[in-house]
Amino acid sequence: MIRITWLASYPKSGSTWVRAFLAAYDRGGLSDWSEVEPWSAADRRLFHQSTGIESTDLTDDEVANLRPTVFRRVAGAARLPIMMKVHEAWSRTPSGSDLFPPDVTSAVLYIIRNPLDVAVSWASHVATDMDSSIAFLCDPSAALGASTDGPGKHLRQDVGTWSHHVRSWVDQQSLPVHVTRYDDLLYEPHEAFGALVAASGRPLQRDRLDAAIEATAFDRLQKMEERNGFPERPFGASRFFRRGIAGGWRDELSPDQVNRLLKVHGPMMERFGYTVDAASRR
Amino acid sequence: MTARTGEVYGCAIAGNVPLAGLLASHRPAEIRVHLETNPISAAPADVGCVASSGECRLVVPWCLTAVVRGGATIDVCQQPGLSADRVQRFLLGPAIAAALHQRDVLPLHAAAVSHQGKALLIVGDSAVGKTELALALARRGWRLLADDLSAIRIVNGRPIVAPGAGVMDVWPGTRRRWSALPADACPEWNAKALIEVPAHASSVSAPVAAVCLLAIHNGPVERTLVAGYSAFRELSRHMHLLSVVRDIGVEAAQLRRIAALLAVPVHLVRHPRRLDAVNQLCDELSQCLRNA
Repeated sequence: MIRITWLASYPKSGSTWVRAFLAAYDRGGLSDWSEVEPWSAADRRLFHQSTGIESTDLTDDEVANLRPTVFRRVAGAARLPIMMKVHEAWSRTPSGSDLFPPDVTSAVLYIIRNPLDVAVSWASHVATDMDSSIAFLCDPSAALGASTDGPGKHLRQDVGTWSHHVRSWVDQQSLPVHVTRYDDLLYEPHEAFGALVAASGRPLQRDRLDAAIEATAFDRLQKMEERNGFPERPFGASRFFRRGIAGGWRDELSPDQVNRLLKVHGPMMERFGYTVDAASRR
Repeated sequence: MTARTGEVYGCAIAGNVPLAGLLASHRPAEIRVHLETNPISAAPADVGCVASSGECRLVVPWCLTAVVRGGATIDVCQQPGLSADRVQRFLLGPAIAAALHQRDVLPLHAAAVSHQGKALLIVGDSAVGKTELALALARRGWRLLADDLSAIRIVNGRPIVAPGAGVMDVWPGTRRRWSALPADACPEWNAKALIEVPAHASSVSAPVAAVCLLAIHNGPVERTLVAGYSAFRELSRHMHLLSVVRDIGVEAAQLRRIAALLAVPVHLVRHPRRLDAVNQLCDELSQCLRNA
């Protein structure tokens, strides 16, 4: 039976980079975005194709209650293992079932990134100011695809605060989860990407690993975006692959903004080794 | 205005369900609808449409079930308390799409608008902006033929689109931007609602003169002609109830109708989903029809 690997992360935490890496690992290289696994768990088309019902004809709760069935049908119809990108928090449906059904799950690859860097990257991604971006990371009711203006291409995804998101995936007991820090992908790529390959159920081959890391180095992805564009770049944003660094927040967040994020997310940051020096707090 | 008999998608329909926006008809009923209200026992795993030749069974847990037979009867069981809007949405959406398949009519996931007697189909996925664009064109004097489902017949080799119900299914944002809608038309601020648009609706079928495949991308508004297999594949993808067309037994016939539709120009129009692009989109669609 085909199972699904969930590639879960808070938005702007490196899941696209990991998708590109795994595609390069499977193919022995990467020349275009069309080679990257396209599945997104919240894609409206996926819901429609699986149920024959327009998601826009249903309430958010009805849609959420049907999504485990959608995932089971997708897995049941697949001939090859599937990896699905997920940006929402792990949760249960309004009727009490696991949203991501354990019976069709292979594993969860959870990517975590310092929320100070996430705040900077999110502000650029949605073209908002830094204070609004910080407010989003601290908002318990934060959701994607939730505009009452009309539906987008994705279903409603409840994200919650950054800390809630991390806790929901890392501490849930239903699914096996492998946690990877964005920083480790940057600074210890062979160990971090190698562990991701193994956790995804792929046989680990050193030569493939080396080639895939090189093919998806940040400057290579930026060049590919310059050459071919990038389908998920928001309109108006100059680029999707912006800086690809850890610690860039030091250039862009004021001490007050840092403190606001630390107040809400300090304990969870500490749990994953993200510390902030005293100078940045003043 | 709601009615129990009338015409929609070129079919005379009668039954015990009041439906908004039906056209007046004196023809004998071709499709009979029977509605009863009972608790729905279907589980989430039952969701969707199961078909065999002659019968289609639609299940929407917590909402309704519908059995469509021979393109002539639709038996609906609705959950107590389901709003009239939602009954109409399912009945004149997937349920009647099944009946149209059974009646050898092609139900496309498209809005249809007409200008000077020529129709333009706006084909696209859910949430791509079909309704908003159709309403924007109505502001420019175009007539609204259909909202989310366009019923296509091939007559003497030419595709003809029949008018749907004179209602549009609009989101609050669309309502706010489209000032012609009455302010109290959407009772639930956060919900999609059916709005009657009799002043703008057309009651006569029109020959399809052009097709617009509407899509969202992260660049400016672009229009390109699509032909051959690419156009055929995209249009085929937008048949209503695509997953059961083969089981209904009409796949080959419907694909022939899609092929006949390719006799008119098919334009791929991509847009960035920004409000300031709507006027430019209307210009592009006007151009589609002018060139047809």
